[in-house]
Amino acid sequence: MSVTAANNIVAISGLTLDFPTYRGRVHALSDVTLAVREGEITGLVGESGCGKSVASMSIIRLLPPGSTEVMSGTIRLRGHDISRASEREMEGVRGKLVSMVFQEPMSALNPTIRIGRQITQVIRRHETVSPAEATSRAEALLTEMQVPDASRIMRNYPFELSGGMRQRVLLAMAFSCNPAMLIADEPTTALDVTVQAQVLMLLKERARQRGTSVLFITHDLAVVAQLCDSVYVMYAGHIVEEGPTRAVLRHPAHPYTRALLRSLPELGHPKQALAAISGNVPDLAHPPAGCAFRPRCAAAHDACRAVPDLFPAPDDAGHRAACWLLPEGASAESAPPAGLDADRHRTASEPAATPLLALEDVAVRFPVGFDWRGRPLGHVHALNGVDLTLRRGETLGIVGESGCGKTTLGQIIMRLLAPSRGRVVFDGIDLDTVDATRLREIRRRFQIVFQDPQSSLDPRMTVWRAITEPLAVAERHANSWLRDKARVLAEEVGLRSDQLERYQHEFSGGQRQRIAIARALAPGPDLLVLDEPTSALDVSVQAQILNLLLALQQRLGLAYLFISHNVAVVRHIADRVAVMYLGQIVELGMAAQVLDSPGHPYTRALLAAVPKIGDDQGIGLPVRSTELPSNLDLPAGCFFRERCPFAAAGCEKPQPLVEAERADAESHLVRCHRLRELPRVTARR
Amino acid sequence: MAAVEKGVAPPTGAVIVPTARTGAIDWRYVWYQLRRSPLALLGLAIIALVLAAMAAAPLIAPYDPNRLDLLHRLAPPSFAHWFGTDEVGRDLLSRVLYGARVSVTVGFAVVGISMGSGTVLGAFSGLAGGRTDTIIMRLMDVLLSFPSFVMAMALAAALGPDLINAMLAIAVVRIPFYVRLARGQALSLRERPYVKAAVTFGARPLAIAWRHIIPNALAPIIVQSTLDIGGAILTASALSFIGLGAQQPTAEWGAMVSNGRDYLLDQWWYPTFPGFAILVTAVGFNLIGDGLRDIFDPRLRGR
Repeated sequence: MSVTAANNIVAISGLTLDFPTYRGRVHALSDVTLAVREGEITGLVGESGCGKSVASMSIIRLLPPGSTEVMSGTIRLRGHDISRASEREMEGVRGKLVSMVFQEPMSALNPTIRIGRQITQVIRRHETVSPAEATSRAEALLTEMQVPDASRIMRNYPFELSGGMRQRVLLAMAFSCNPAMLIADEPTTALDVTVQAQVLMLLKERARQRGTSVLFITHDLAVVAQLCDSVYVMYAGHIVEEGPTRAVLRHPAHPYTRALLRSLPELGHPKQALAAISGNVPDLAHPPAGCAFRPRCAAAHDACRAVPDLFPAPDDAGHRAACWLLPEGASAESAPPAGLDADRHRTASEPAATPLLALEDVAVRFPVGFDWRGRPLGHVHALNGVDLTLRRGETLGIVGESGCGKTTLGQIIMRLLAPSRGRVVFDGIDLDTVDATRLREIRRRFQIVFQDPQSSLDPRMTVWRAITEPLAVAERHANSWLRDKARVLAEEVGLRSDQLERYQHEFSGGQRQRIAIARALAPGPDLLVLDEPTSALDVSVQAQILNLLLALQQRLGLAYLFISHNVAVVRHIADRVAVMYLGQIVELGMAAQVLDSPGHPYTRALLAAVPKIGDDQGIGLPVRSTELPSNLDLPAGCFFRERCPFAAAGCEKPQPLVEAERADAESHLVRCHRLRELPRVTARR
Repeated sequence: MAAVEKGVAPPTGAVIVPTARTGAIDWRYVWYQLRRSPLALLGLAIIALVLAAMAAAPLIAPYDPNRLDLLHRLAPPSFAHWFGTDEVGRDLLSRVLYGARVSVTVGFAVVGISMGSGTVLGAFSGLAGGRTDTIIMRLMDVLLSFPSFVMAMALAAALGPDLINAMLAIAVVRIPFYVRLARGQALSLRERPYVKAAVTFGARPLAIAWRHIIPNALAPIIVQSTLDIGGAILTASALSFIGLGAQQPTAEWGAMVSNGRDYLLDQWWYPTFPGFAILVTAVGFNLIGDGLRDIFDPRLRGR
């Protein structure tokens, strides 16, 4: 991957870039050298704050000029140095030579302008064509991006489209002037997996057909495995490893890449501790001297006090990594990292007499729109008859895409919402029948951990106050007693007890989630509802939190209701799994049954869409139609019927859950009448 | 919704703008931004000067503000009387310095009363919702529908001409602004996960309001209050000017301007210096308020 090669469309060389801030200079990029070759898809992967977006935005100079300072280095586009190009020249570059697709399709589109006009604006900005011609080209582009009924979509506003559709519109805009290169900054991170698979497939095909190079920025190594020809791994503003995707992911040479791969739940053993990377990404205002990964690296030694160059790895010509172990000839293939306790496997809990939690035919609907008499015009059906039991000490995973009702389910269990129909019974107590005072007492026995720890902790409370808040609101306690309690709880979740006088914003995301978990543990609950507790975290930190949750469960005998869109995480932590679709449970059973040999067509589609490392065959195309049906008016019969590849006569009737098989007194239930006729699948794990 | 649902990598902007509207006030960041805004610094300097004058008035005032000196009535500015004297020979510099004590105290008291009661009422209204909310807000609409100065005048006149009454009248007129602000904050804050978390471990509504809503609603309210202090001083001066506020012989800026206006043509210094004091103080507080608003709400920041 020589930077001087003539077939590079973009060549960044030795780029060092700072942000001056009130905390001092943030060294966002340090000596970054990167090239994207004609017609290739190049991945740029790293955890949040590692500088991958900054690097990509510097290519088309989108960084705010007042708050960035380029210290050294050059950026060449087709051999032409743009670091000193005027803003006028850059306007010709953006969109025409290099175009960009962002993560959030809603905020990247102007909400007040129709889709068609937004695309034709781009075309007419760069080329002199008649309005009619621009319109017909925009329509052709949309059709090419698999937008159904393109002429109608042209007249729509962005808010009328789904997330996947918006991302297709953005792709159409990005391709509109036949750019030589496309920068895609986490374009599918905000999408559901089934939609992500479709958009990735589309992006890959269109880039190949048009010969467009792509710089694909992502935090997801599995997406890289499926999509990219070559990959750069970034850490703390440095490129730490580069090479052909296969070489980098199969034989990672840098300890960071290796640790990152090992912390993925899909590559670990279910219910066992993952090899998390200890510590946090360094603060780029005060980066460690020498190798940036040194403080977290198991193989760190004296040489690491100097910044390593990129040294060639033995396996492939283009594969290089910035680690001193390579020239020393030592292999970084170290012993399994500490903390990987081999046989802590815990068998699923023994069946108890009464379940800890039971949901009986729970339905929730929200009124929408009101007529002049104040009567609702319609209802959103968030949950449609959910039956569920949870035993003591057990982990039940809830899997589903956005809009499937999994968060509503969590809120129902936490009694933040009351069901419109059905009963929620906690430890034999029907929560509908108790009064407010009694409910406040019972509440302390089930607690919740939210997705985003930053917003679930009051920014104006010190950490010890936040952790002990459940105790303080129940009874009056002396501050010294509360502080002691906070110290005990902090140690329980692996927080340093000398940091309890600080505020949450002084902590990293992973530590904040630990604080939130400590707070949930404070009243001594029997059940924790974990609502996407790791999806706002980087993979290395996610592994730490998953390990913590497993350890806590063993020690305290907690029951978990683990809600997540991430199949791999649920497979890792759950004993039993329920798959939700449109407010219904479509499949329920042991984690191995449901996620390794799925029965329901929806579960199959969902699992096929999940990108997998070591599966560089391509992207599995999961469902027929792209759009999730509206939960304003539910389809008759099986909810999945319209998207189901196996739909047949009989699907128009409502489907009950039927037993697929029975193993260890645990039934595997699937809501599909054609179950026995479908081909058996086993997961590609 | 989709962004909350999925693991969204934080935008790069997070590196550049540190106080990402979390609600918490990072004073280090506030100071960093203030330093870069010359106008806000000017405001800060003015207010520091005014506060110093207030505190040190007995030390630096050359005369007793109420001492009559009939030999030197309406004397023009001189080294003996920098700002000149009034119609009964009182030293205007001393009166302006002592007047700061009255006027600025009135400003703070008015804002304190209206901010305190408005915030509590607004937070309560937003959290209670339903009919309570409707009744409170419609009452506030009624208060708002009168021009505020006319309303303050009517109230002050009804209560009787007196500085304390004027202060109360001005405070009452300003309450609705704080109610609206606090209610809006409460409505958005009560949907925050940390408030929901408080519900899940059994916190009562009052505890939630006190622990979470009010502390986190403060940033915009503080901005509003600094902008208001200048206005409150002006209104108090205006009420004194028409005789509904401070009464003789209290040294109050508005009252001084009011008495001095008869002499404007021949003895220009009499109304000018107290008027200038009002102007400078109001401008000072407004500059600080603008600066704080820009810091807390970067979207409004001018170029």
